[in-house]
Amino acid sequence: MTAGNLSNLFIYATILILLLALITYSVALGDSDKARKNENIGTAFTWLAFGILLVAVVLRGISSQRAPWGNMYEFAITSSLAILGAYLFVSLKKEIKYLGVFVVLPSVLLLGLAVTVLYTEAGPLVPALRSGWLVVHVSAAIISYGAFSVNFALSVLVLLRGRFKFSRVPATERLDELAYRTALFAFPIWTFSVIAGAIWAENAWGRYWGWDPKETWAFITWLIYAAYLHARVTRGWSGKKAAAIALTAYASIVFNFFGVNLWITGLHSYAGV
Amino acid sequence: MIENNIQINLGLGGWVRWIWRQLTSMTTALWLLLLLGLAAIPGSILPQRSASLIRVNDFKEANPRLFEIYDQLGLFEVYGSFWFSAIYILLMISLAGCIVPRIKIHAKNLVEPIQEAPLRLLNQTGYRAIETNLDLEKINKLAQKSWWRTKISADGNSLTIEKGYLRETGNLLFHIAILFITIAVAFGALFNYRGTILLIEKDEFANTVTQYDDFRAGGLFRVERMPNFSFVLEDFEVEFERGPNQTGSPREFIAELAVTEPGLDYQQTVVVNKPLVIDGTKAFLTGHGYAPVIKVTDDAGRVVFDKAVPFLPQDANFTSNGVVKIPDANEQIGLLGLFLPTGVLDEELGPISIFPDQDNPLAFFSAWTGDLGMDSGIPQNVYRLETENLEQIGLAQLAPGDRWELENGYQVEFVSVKRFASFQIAYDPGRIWAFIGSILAMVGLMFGLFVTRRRIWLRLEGIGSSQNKIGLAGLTKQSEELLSRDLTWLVKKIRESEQR
Repeated sequence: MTAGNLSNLFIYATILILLLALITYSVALGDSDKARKNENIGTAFTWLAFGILLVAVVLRGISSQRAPWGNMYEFAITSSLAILGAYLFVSLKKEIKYLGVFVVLPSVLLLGLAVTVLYTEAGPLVPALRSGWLVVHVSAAIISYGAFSVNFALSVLVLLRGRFKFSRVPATERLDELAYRTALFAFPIWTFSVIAGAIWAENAWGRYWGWDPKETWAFITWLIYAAYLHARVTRGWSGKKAAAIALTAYASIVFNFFGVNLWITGLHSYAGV
Repeated sequence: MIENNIQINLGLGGWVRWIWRQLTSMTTALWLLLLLGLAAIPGSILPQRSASLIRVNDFKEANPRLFEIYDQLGLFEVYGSFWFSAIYILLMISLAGCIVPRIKIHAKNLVEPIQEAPLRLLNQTGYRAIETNLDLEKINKLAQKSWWRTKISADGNSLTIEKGYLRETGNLLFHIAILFITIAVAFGALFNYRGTILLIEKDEFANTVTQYDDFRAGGLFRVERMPNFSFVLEDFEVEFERGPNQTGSPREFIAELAVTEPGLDYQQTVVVNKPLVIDGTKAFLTGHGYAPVIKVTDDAGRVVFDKAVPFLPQDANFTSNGVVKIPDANEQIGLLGLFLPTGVLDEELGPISIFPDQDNPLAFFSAWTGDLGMDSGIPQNVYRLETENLEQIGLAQLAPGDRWELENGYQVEFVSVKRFASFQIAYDPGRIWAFIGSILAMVGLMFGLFVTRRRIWLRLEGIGSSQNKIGLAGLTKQSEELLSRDLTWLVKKIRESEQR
């Protein structure tokens, strides 16, 4: 069995375990009696899934002998890893296990799309991507995507909190504060990723900014998160309004990944689909 | 009417002030940020002139009426349109109006003495009291050593220490840097130039405006500023994936250039991501394709055409289209060509290339005669042959080396195939400044987001024979966690320095 096949196998295993995590987290969200116990089980599943996914991503890198970020499939599985990683990292320091469903759901959806629609066999990079900047630019983007995903999950909860009876979900202010902190972490990394991308673009295409669709949407994402950070310090804009901005910003990330890669022609056409 | 009264009372100055206050408020800045994002969207969906004139023209042909309306709205040049510019200029004004007063306040805070501690600390954040044999003077020295800004009150009974001025400094630096980047981009756009060239193997390019296939320059660009150089494309190597995975994906593009600068000749290898750099001008390898060599002799045996003609690739397997125009023969001849590096005849799709490298080079030509319209004075697209008023005089499939006799006695020979490489050549004096601006913005952002401004008060609450009772408390707008850590740190520091 080659490293590539093993990687695929592990991806499927990850999806299975994440589905288990999703079920236990969902149960915990509705039922307050055994909530804590179920949340812990869900988190254990999530850790397991994270570990296996990490191995899968590394194996994928080994089988293609490069950083595993050369096409949409690889980007999707690594982003899924980053989402889980960001959540688990925060959960080590803060009590956020109530967030489980809202983090596991997007990552398992992403993995599902990866294996069904986006799948590409492992292979070497096209010349356009052969640059040290790939590692710098893309890894920064992926890390900030992970953190923005946690921000997204928290913002969803801010908006849903009043409508549903969730057990163990803290007050809006607390959710809001945590969401703000994840965005604080992610925003500079995203900024860095955009700058690194500009430097790379200057080296590869002869201009640092050319309003290529991918660049444009990265800029739009940046603007909306900038607005979000400002909203938080503007009177009357924290809470639900800020959460709505955060969701818009996240939507722009999702569009940049799927919409721009699959529907719009541009220079960043490395989907490999 | 009441409303009118208010207007009158405000007066012109009042209105200006009111508008200025609105424009520089955080809420307006917020809306402008979101609006700018919204305004950027159409440019990512509709083709833009700056990126691809061809795709804009395609849109025009497909939807002529919609094109008119969109064009009026500037939707094909979104990022240069008046409404896009208006939004970001308003945003920049709002930004400037916001930071200038803040710079003043920050400067004042940095210069002015810091405030003395309140009389009672008991109800302040993180209050605690310790007994120590150090006096405030000693603690003051300790704090100063660790980069706190300090102030002992006039009566000597309280001490205030402060940290985190870098937060506001960073904030301001970030916003100034954003303004700076915007100006650098505008500056670059005024003086830059950029163009594309298509160079067939062994051909030479000299850096003058006329040699470019398309050339754009900023409003203040001067031709004299273009550096004097030329290069020959000595060799161009291309490699494609032949394995079962991602078959046909490009693997290697290597262009070997012989470069000539005044008084200097050298060889340089240019690959994607590694341009040729001369005096701030960079030449990037951006694409490639095939240029079949075609030789045409007339009915008298005279050679009327003998050249490599670049054929433009239409798909990833380099099914390419090209045109040969021979206006000065006895009879004007035009050839429409289709070149397939690995040609097959597909039952449904017709002649098509199935691999990007030359495994089975094939060309299909149709020959046309009549007035090619090249003497009409109207500029023509060299990659296009308008066949409306022409008469077709033949159709043939040729492999390299094949000859084809036309019915009018002309002979077309498909001699061989060369490769061409396309280069983007660009110069932008604003880029270094935009880069510096980005670095400053990044630094400012880190300080602005992660430095915490906090203040700690210490007050002498009782004097014993050997021990002083000192109360400590603090103030912060950001992280109380960090404040409490600072208080603990300070107490520890005091304990360490106590005289035994």
